[in-house]
Amino acid sequence: MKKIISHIIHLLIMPCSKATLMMERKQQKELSPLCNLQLMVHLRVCKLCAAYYRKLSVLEKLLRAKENKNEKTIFQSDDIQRFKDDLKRKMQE
Amino acid sequence: MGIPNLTSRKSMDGKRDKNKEITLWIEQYSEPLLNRAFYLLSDREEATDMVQEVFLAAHLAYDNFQSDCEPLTWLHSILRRKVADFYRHKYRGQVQTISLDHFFDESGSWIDQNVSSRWNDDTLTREEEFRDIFDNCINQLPMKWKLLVKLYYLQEQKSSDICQEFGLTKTNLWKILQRSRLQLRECLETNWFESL
Repeated sequence: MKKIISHIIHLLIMPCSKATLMMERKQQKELSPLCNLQLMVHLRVCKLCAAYYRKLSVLEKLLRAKENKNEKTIFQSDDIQRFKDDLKRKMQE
Repeated sequence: MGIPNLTSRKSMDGKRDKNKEITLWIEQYSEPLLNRAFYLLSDREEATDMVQEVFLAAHLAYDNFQSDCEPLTWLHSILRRKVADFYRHKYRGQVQTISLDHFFDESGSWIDQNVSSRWNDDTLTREEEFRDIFDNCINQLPMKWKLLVKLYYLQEQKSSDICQEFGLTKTNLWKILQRSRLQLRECLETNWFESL
Protein backbone atom coordinates (compact mmCIF):
# COMPACT_ATOMS: atom_id res chain seq x y z
CA MET A 1 0.00 0.00 0.00
CA LYS A 2 2.71 2.44 1.03
CA LYS A 3 4.54 1.68 -2.17
CA ILE A 4 1.48 2.50 -4.23
CA ILE A 5 0.95 5.80 -2.43
CA SER A 6 4.57 6.68 -2.96
CA HIS A 7 4.26 5.85 -6.62
CA ILE A 8 1.17 7.97 -7.05
CA ILE A 9 2.78 10.90 -5.33
CA HIS A 10 5.85 10.64 -7.50
CA LEU A 11 3.66 10.57 -10.57
CA LEU A 12 0.99 13.07 -9.62
CA ILE A 13 2.70 15.60 -7.45
CA MET A 14 6.24 15.63 -8.70
CA PRO A 15 9.16 13.41 -9.59
CA CYS A 16 12.43 13.47 -7.63
CA SER A 17 14.11 15.43 -10.41
CA LYS A 18 11.68 18.25 -9.80
CA ALA A 19 11.67 17.89 -6.01
CA THR A 20 15.42 18.56 -5.95
CA LEU A 21 14.82 21.81 -7.84
CA MET A 22 12.17 22.78 -5.31
CA MET A 23 14.76 22.23 -2.57
CA GLU A 24 17.01 24.82 -4.22
CA ARG A 25 14.17 27.28 -4.36
CA LYS A 26 13.31 26.60 -0.75
CA GLN A 27 16.89 27.21 0.29
CA GLN A 28 16.66 30.60 -1.36
CA LYS A 29 13.28 31.24 0.20
CA GLU A 30 11.68 31.48 -3.19
CA LEU A 31 9.18 28.69 -2.90
CA SER A 32 5.45 29.41 -2.96
CA PRO A 33 3.35 27.92 -0.13
CA LEU A 34 1.68 25.48 -2.52
CA CYS A 35 4.99 24.22 -3.91
CA ASN A 36 6.31 24.03 -0.39
CA LEU A 37 3.43 21.80 0.59
CA GLN A 38 4.04 19.60 -2.44
CA LEU A 39 7.67 19.30 -1.50
CA MET A 40 6.85 18.40 2.10
CA VAL A 41 4.43 15.68 0.96
CA HIS A 42 7.04 14.35 -1.41
CA LEU A 43 9.67 14.29 1.32
CA ARG A 44 7.31 12.39 3.61
CA VAL A 45 6.99 9.49 1.21
CA CYS A 46 10.31 9.54 -0.64
CA LYS A 47 13.17 8.19 1.42
CA LEU A 48 15.80 9.02 -1.16
CA CYS A 49 14.78 12.64 -1.46
CA ALA A 50 14.48 12.96 2.32
CA ALA A 51 18.05 11.68 2.65
CA TYR A 52 19.24 13.96 -0.13
CA TYR A 53 17.54 16.90 1.56
CA ARG A 54 19.51 16.23 4.73
CA LYS A 55 22.70 16.02 2.73
CA LEU A 56 21.91 19.31 1.05
CA SER A 57 21.83 21.08 4.37
CA VAL A 58 25.26 19.61 5.15
CA LEU A 59 26.51 20.81 1.77
CA GLU A 60 25.07 24.24 2.36
CA LYS A 61 26.83 24.47 5.72
CA LEU A 62 30.11 23.34 4.19
CA LEU A 63 29.87 25.82 1.34
CA ARG A 64 29.00 28.66 3.67
CA ALA A 65 31.90 27.76 5.94
CA LYS A 66 34.31 27.80 3.03
CA GLU A 67 33.70 31.41 2.26
CA ASN A 68 36.96 33.32 1.78
CA LYS A 69 39.10 30.61 3.31
CA ASN A 70 39.79 28.71 0.20
CA GLU A 71 41.91 31.07 -1.79
CA LYS A 72 45.11 29.17 -1.97
CA THR A 73 48.25 31.09 -2.58
CA ILE A 74 48.98 30.09 -6.13
CA PHE A 75 51.14 33.11 -6.84
CA GLN A 76 54.62 33.19 -5.36
CA SER A 77 55.95 36.46 -3.98
CA ASP A 78 58.22 36.80 -7.04
CA ASP A 79 55.23 36.54 -9.36
CA ILE A 80 53.35 39.12 -7.36
CA GLN A 81 56.32 41.50 -7.33
CA ARG A 82 56.70 41.16 -11.09
CA PHE A 83 53.00 41.77 -11.54
CA LYS A 84 53.18 44.94 -9.45
CA ASP A 85 56.24 46.26 -11.27
CA ASP A 86 54.79 45.58 -14.71
CA LEU A 87 51.53 47.21 -13.83
CA LYS A 88 53.10 50.29 -12.28
CA ARG A 89 55.22 50.73 -15.39
CA LYS A 90 52.13 50.42 -17.55
CA MET A 91 50.22 52.92 -15.47
CA GLN A 92 52.95 55.52 -15.91
CA GLU A 93 52.83 55.34 -19.68
CA MET B 1 40.23 83.18 -18.39
CA GLY B 2 41.53 82.51 -14.93
CA ILE B 3 38.92 79.90 -14.16
CA PRO B 4 39.97 77.21 -16.66
CA ASN B 5 43.51 77.60 -15.38
CA LEU B 6 42.37 77.04 -11.87
CA THR B 7 40.41 73.95 -12.71
CA SER B 8 43.21 72.51 -14.75
CA ARG B 9 45.65 72.98 -11.92
CA LYS B 10 43.18 71.42 -9.52
CA SER B 11 42.70 68.42 -11.77
CA MET B 12 46.46 68.06 -12.09
CA ASP B 13 46.74 67.91 -8.32
CA GLY B 14 43.91 65.44 -8.24
CA LYS B 15 45.68 63.36 -10.85
CA ARG B 16 48.88 63.22 -8.88
CA ASP B 17 47.00 62.05 -5.80
CA LYS B 18 45.14 59.53 -7.83
CA ASN B 19 48.32 58.05 -9.27
CA LYS B 20 49.89 57.87 -5.85
CA GLU B 21 46.80 56.24 -4.44
CA ILE B 22 46.52 53.67 -7.23
CA THR B 23 50.21 52.81 -6.88
CA LEU B 24 49.61 52.22 -3.20
CA TRP B 25 46.65 50.00 -3.97
CA ILE B 26 48.68 47.98 -6.45
CA GLU B 27 51.25 47.49 -3.72
CA GLN B 28 48.72 46.50 -1.08
CA TYR B 29 45.96 44.67 -2.89
CA SER B 30 47.56 42.83 -5.80
CA GLU B 31 47.96 39.66 -3.79
CA PRO B 32 44.42 39.25 -2.47
CA LEU B 33 42.97 40.20 -5.84
CA LEU B 34 45.19 37.79 -7.75
CA ASN B 35 44.24 34.97 -5.40
CA ARG B 36 40.57 35.76 -5.65
CA ALA B 37 40.71 35.99 -9.45
CA PHE B 38 42.53 32.69 -9.66
CA TYR B 39 40.04 31.08 -7.32
CA LEU B 40 37.19 32.16 -9.56
CA LEU B 41 38.77 31.57 -12.96
CA SER B 42 41.10 28.63 -12.24
CA ASP B 43 43.60 30.02 -14.73
CA ARG B 44 46.76 31.95 -13.89
CA GLU B 45 46.99 33.94 -17.05
CA GLU B 46 43.34 34.91 -17.15
CA ALA B 47 43.52 35.85 -13.48
CA THR B 48 46.59 38.04 -14.02
CA ASP B 49 45.04 39.80 -17.02
CA MET B 50 41.85 40.39 -15.16
CA VAL B 51 43.45 41.92 -12.08
CA GLN B 52 45.44 44.19 -14.36
CA GLU B 53 42.18 45.29 -15.93
CA VAL B 54 40.71 45.86 -12.50
CA PHE B 55 43.46 48.35 -11.63
CA LEU B 56 43.18 50.07 -15.00
CA ALA B 57 39.42 50.36 -14.54
CA ALA B 58 39.92 51.66 -11.01
CA HIS B 59 42.28 54.27 -12.40
CA LEU B 60 39.72 55.39 -14.95
CA ALA B 61 36.81 55.39 -12.51
CA TYR B 62 38.78 56.78 -9.58
CA ASP B 63 36.48 59.81 -9.31
CA ASN B 64 33.59 57.50 -8.50
CA PHE B 65 35.42 56.03 -5.56
CA GLN B 66 34.04 57.17 -2.25
CA SER B 67 36.85 57.49 0.22
CA ASP B 68 34.71 56.24 3.09
CA CYS B 69 34.51 52.92 1.29
CA GLU B 70 37.17 50.29 1.85
CA PRO B 71 39.40 50.31 -1.28
CA LEU B 72 39.65 46.52 -1.37
CA THR B 73 35.87 46.20 -1.24
CA TRP B 74 35.61 48.57 -4.17
CA LEU B 75 38.30 46.71 -6.11
CA HIS B 76 36.55 43.41 -5.39
CA SER B 77 33.32 44.78 -6.80
CA ILE B 78 35.15 45.83 -9.97
CA LEU B 79 36.66 42.37 -10.18
CA ARG B 80 33.25 40.80 -9.82
CA ARG B 81 31.87 42.90 -12.65
CA LYS B 82 34.85 42.01 -14.83
CA VAL B 83 34.30 38.33 -14.08
CA ALA B 84 30.62 38.71 -14.99
CA ASP B 85 31.59 40.41 -18.29
CA PHE B 86 34.02 37.63 -19.00
CA TYR B 87 31.36 35.03 -18.26
CA ARG B 88 28.68 36.65 -20.36
CA HIS B 89 31.08 37.09 -23.23
CA LYS B 90 32.33 33.52 -23.04
CA TYR B 91 28.94 31.87 -22.88
CA ARG B 92 27.01 34.35 -24.99
CA GLY B 93 24.46 32.73 -27.24
CA GLN B 94 24.91 29.36 -25.60
CA VAL B 95 21.68 27.83 -24.51
CA GLN B 96 21.98 26.64 -20.95
CA THR B 97 20.95 23.05 -21.35
CA ILE B 98 21.31 21.30 -18.07
CA SER B 99 20.83 17.60 -18.32
CA LEU B 100 19.91 15.59 -15.24
CA ASP B 101 20.07 12.24 -17.10
CA HIS B 102 23.05 11.18 -15.06
CA PHE B 103 21.06 11.42 -11.84
CA PHE B 104 17.44 10.58 -12.71
CA ASP B 105 15.77 8.04 -14.99
CA GLU B 106 13.03 8.89 -17.51
CA SER B 107 10.37 8.95 -14.82
CA GLY B 108 12.46 11.40 -12.79
CA SER B 109 13.45 8.92 -10.07
CA TRP B 110 16.90 8.60 -8.53
CA ILE B 111 19.31 6.30 -10.32
CA ASP B 112 21.94 6.14 -7.58
CA GLN B 113 20.39 4.45 -4.55
CA ASN B 114 23.36 5.52 -2.42
CA VAL B 115 21.62 8.82 -1.95
CA SER B 116 19.88 7.23 1.00
CA SER B 117 23.06 6.47 2.95
CA ARG B 118 23.85 8.45 6.08
CA TRP B 119 26.57 11.05 6.23
CA ASN B 120 28.60 11.27 9.36
CA ASP B 121 29.33 14.95 9.27
CA ASP B 122 30.67 15.62 12.76
CA THR B 123 34.24 16.23 11.88
CA LEU B 124 33.97 17.44 8.31
CA THR B 125 34.88 21.05 8.61
CA ARG B 126 37.92 20.32 10.73
CA GLU B 127 39.68 17.75 8.66
CA GLU B 128 42.33 19.01 6.33
CA GLU B 129 42.01 15.96 4.12
CA PHE B 130 38.31 16.49 3.70
CA ARG B 131 38.82 20.11 2.68
CA ASP B 132 41.08 19.01 -0.15
CA ILE B 133 38.53 16.51 -1.38
CA PHE B 134 35.78 19.06 -1.12
CA ASP B 135 37.85 21.61 -3.07
CA ASN B 136 38.54 18.99 -5.73
CA CYS B 137 34.87 18.17 -6.03
CA ILE B 138 34.05 21.84 -6.53
CA ASN B 139 36.78 22.20 -9.11
CA GLN B 140 35.43 19.26 -11.06
CA LEU B 141 32.25 21.16 -11.79
CA PRO B 142 32.07 22.55 -15.32
CA MET B 143 33.57 26.05 -15.50
CA LYS B 144 30.34 27.81 -16.25
CA TRP B 145 28.69 26.46 -13.10
CA LYS B 146 31.69 26.39 -10.82
CA LEU B 147 32.18 30.13 -11.16
CA LEU B 148 28.60 30.84 -10.18
CA VAL B 149 28.64 28.45 -7.24
CA LYS B 150 31.83 30.05 -5.93
CA LEU B 151 30.54 33.57 -6.36
CA TYR B 152 27.22 32.67 -4.84
CA TYR B 153 28.87 31.62 -1.61
CA LEU B 154 31.76 34.03 -1.63
CA GLN B 155 30.07 37.26 -0.80
CA GLU B 156 26.68 36.08 0.34
CA GLN B 157 25.42 37.70 -2.78
CA LYS B 158 21.74 37.88 -3.45
CA SER B 159 20.72 35.58 -6.24
CA SER B 160 18.92 38.44 -7.98
CA ASP B 161 22.22 40.37 -8.20
CA ILE B 162 24.04 37.39 -9.64
CA CYS B 163 21.28 36.87 -12.19
CA GLN B 164 21.43 40.47 -13.27
CA GLU B 165 25.21 40.63 -13.55
CA PHE B 166 25.52 37.32 -15.34
CA GLY B 167 22.47 37.67 -17.54
CA LEU B 168 20.68 34.62 -16.17
CA THR B 169 17.08 34.03 -15.26
CA LYS B 170 16.32 32.94 -11.72
CA THR B 171 15.15 29.57 -12.96
CA ASN B 172 18.45 29.16 -14.74
CA LEU B 173 20.40 29.88 -11.58
CA TRP B 174 18.29 27.44 -9.54
CA LYS B 175 18.88 24.76 -12.12
CA ILE B 176 22.60 25.42 -12.15
CA LEU B 177 22.74 25.22 -8.36
CA GLN B 178 20.58 22.09 -8.37
CA ARG B 179 22.78 20.39 -10.96
CA SER B 180 25.98 21.48 -9.21
CA ARG B 181 24.85 20.20 -5.85
CA LEU B 182 23.71 16.87 -7.28
CA GLN B 183 27.24 16.48 -8.60
CA LEU B 184 28.87 17.65 -5.36
CA ARG B 185 26.79 15.17 -3.37
CA GLU B 186 27.85 12.33 -5.62
CA CYS B 187 31.49 13.37 -5.61
CA LEU B 188 31.65 13.59 -1.81
CA GLU B 189 29.80 10.32 -1.48
CA THR B 190 32.30 8.40 -3.61
CA ASN B 191 35.46 10.16 -2.54
CA TRP B 192 34.86 10.65 1.14
CA PHE B 193 31.90 9.07 2.85
CA GLU B 194 32.11 5.68 1.20
CA SER B 195 35.82 5.44 1.88
CA LEU B 196 35.55 6.29 5.58
